Amino acid sequence: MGSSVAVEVTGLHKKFGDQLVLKGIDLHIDMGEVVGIIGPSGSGKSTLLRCLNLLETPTEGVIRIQDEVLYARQAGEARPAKSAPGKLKTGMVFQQFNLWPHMTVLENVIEAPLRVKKTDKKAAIQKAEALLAKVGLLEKRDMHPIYLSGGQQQRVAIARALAMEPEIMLFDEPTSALDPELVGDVLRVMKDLAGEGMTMIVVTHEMEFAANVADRVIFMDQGAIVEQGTPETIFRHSQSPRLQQFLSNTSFTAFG
Amino acid sequence: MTIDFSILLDFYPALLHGLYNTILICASSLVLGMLLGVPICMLRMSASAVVRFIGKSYINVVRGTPFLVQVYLLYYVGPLYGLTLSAFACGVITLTIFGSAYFAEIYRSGVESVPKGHLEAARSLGMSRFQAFTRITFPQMMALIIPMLTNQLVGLVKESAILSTVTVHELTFAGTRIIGETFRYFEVYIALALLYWILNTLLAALADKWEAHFTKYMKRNKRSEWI
Repeated sequence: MGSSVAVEVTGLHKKFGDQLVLKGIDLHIDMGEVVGIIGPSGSGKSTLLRCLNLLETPTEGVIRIQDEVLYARQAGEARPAKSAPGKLKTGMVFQQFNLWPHMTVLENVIEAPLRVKKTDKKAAIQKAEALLAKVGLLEKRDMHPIYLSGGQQQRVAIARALAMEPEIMLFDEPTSALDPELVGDVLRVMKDLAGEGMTMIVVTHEMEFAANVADRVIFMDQGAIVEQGTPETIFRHSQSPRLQQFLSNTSFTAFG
Repeated sequence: MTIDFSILLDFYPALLHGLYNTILICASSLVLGMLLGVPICMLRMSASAVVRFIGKSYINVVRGTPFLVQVYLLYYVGPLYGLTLSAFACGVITLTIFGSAYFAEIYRSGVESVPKGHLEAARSLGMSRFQAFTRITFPQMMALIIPMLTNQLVGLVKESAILSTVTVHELTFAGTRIIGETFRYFEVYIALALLYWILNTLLAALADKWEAHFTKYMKRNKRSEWI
């Protein structure tokens, strides 16, 4: 099973106005893989991630999620082929958590299963409670998000995404908005998830997480993938000067 | 002339009739105005620049001209172009149009107050645009805009007095007539002011109930905040 395709991206371009932020990305990710994407701000890493669930519409290229085409548009083609939003196989966790403040923790988690999957309410609640227990927040189920710390909110957001039973989890700088002492709890949940075999693509500034949890690390700069490989290769035997410079600017020293 | 409110007793049926018409005109045009505000707001927020311009122009023209002039235009100029309306219909239509421009802008401020990320979260979970609006945007924007809506509704009720100038038989019209017969300016205008005030107080109380419904979640959080 380890070799079935999770994500297949070919020739992905994205323009914002005149600015080309993704310059022809090719990417292949297998099911069960945990991929960390690192790089300086403005390198296009978040944009790439957001293209994978069509929060950003690519300018051109092909995105396949498992065996289905999510988006396909060749240069010059007028209309891209897109799949319907209800059929997303990806779940996403955002930097800013984005929990809905007018709903309780539990309501946040059951909302999409109820509305999109039309799950029976009892079953949805049961599932939500199991997920909240998993992220260690079952006792907060009836509280509103504003009541929770950032780390707790982010863990609820992970539970909310998992409630839709995604095949692939996308994390967009999930710990960047957190106080340092709250980062650990979120990373622990993500590590557990990786340990269960979840396919994960994580845009992150946490070099330690990338080094210790990811199977593969991708370094992006100026809209292109500059280098990729095992954490060991990337952090210890990096080839490109750009990556070496980037790593020397981060305080992290991998593998001691 | 001494102040004598007892004259109102002789004319209260006329006042009540006027009050009844004011309530009827306001109730219908406030509801219609709030409804018409929805498509106007959609035009105003359209992705197409042309459509957006149409919405913006409507709002600018309606907001930028006096209500009195709008009423005169429809009632006196309309018939010259074959548009003959009863005073009552003219009143409801102008008040509806006048209100809709303001309501559209209030809705827009509400929609824009909801962080984009909340909708991205909904979309990333597979919710449709419609579901994202009804489940995520709407409940949050209502909490914010009801005070603004209340202001606007109360303002429109007061604005409706202008319709007396085109012989709509509403409350102010009734009062003016009574004054014509009795020359009791003080008593009648005090009575009018009081009646409008009661009407608006009831309206505001209703809006408060409505607001309480949508802000329940905020209140609950506020009360239990640990400071």
